[in-house]
Amino acid sequence: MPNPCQLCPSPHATVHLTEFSPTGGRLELHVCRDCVARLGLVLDHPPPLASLLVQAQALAQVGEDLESVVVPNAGEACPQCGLEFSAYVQSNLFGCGECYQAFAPQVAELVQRYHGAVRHGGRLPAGIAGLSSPASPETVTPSPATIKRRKSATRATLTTALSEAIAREQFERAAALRDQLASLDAESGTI
Amino acid sequence: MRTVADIVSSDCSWLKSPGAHRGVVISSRIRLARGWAAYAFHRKLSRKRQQELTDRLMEHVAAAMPASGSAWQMQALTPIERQALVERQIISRDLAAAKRPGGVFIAELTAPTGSPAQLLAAMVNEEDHLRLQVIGAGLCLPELLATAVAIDQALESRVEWAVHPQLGYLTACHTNLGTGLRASVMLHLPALAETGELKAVLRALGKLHLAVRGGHGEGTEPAGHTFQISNARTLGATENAYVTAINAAVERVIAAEQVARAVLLDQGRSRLEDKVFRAWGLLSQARSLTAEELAEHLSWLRLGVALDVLGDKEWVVATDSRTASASITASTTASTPASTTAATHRWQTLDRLAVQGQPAHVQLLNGPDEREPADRDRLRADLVRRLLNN
Repeated sequence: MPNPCQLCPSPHATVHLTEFSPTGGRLELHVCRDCVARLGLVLDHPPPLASLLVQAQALAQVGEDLESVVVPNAGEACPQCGLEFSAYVQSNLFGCGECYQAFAPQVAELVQRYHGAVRHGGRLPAGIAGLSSPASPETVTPSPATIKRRKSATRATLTTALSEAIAREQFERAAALRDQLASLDAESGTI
Repeated sequence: MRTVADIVSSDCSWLKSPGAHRGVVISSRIRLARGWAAYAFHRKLSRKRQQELTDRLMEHVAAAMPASGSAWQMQALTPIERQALVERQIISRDLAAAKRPGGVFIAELTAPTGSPAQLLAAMVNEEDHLRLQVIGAGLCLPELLATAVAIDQALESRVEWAVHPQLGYLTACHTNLGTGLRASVMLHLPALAETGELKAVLRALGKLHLAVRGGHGEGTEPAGHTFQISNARTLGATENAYVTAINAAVERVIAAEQVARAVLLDQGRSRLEDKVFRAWGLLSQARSLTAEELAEHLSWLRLGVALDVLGDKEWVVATDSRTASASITASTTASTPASTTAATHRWQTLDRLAVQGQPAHVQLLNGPDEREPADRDRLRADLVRRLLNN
């Protein structure tokens, strides 16, 4: 009876790897043809099985994340570059920065699953304020005036983007931008 | 400006074994991914616009770097030159294989006395518009991060990066989003592999959301027991937090490797000696060597030298070589014992062989003519014998 693949649901493993440890232990891994291709395995020189398992696990995580993301408007394309989300699922490459806004709900889900967070916590270019505190090796605590200036710049950016979204009838995006503005205002104590 | 041939014939600035951890840590690297807001990512960018992006970004990169360096358009490099830059860890396999316009810039940053030099490498129009890398010998992620951030800040005054207030720096793939940071450390872990403990260590790293890859990064196999440990996640924490987490994990892996080495010496010394001396015999005598054979046996030589299994008595360093290595190594003084100088020479030789024994290096070190693999294997064996036998 054929062995099933240990890295995917395929019932037919065609490559059988066995690793012997010097202490007498033995590790076996049965892999199907598709997984051999997916992992880029060179069969003359297979990597240690442990590292192969880690690599397979990482790839599986990205794949699962993508396949299980709900696509409410599967046919909808990015207004900037025309990419459809289904094309991203296939290649893992967005067409432009605007895609992140165009597919905001799917992106939020993907990002949460992969990174375990949805909010950037690192540094940003000077003059662009995030909704979280930027931090770099040289960052010093910004003065209240700097914080106010940065928030004002972010507010202006978000307001412009909101107007554009409404004009283009991109209501989902507009709602997300409105929420970001509300959070910013709440942080600033302006509402 | 240096040619690829100049680079191939020189030593690697990021390879200064044994370093502070007896040869376990090979090098550290910081990579920042950035996209230019004015351009789409490459899959939606016309070839003409990709060329325009490459030309403009290469100019900005050269101006923002803290040191002058060398720049190439990818189309100007032959396949073998591209492969040599991959072997040097300067460019990725993806950029080397890409048919689209792209560029690479490299420079070396001479650090203050006492600190190792840093290799600065920028890949333009790779998966993202810019992949900025800073590489250094040993475990030095915080220093490399400081350099990378300084260069990024210099670029920010010239280029408007694609950013989102909540998601951070926007990249072509969501797995690099946020900081765009990949911090990695390359380790030599032969004892963990030999004692069978590696699997448990790698599993633990996976749970910490750290990725383990072969020595040449994504999609590569570990060759000669070298592994690259890096952050899998890039969004949610600060750059410093990612670096701190990797440092902490790497310190634990180093400790585990040191324990495994002690176990090997204590409980399996004769087997260890056999492995090391078989490798020594084969490398010092072989007339034909594949790159894989060299990597595997070089790994045992590194371990043998690190554990002093292969020392002064076995690997005799000629007087003129000691003199030569003393002139290379700034820290070596006239009062340094001969055994220390000989050890320095051995490590320099091992580092040199690890780089220059790779396929494209062997090819380019022996002239521009393309060579058959069997011919390269013979030339590789000649190089190894020459360096090991002084």
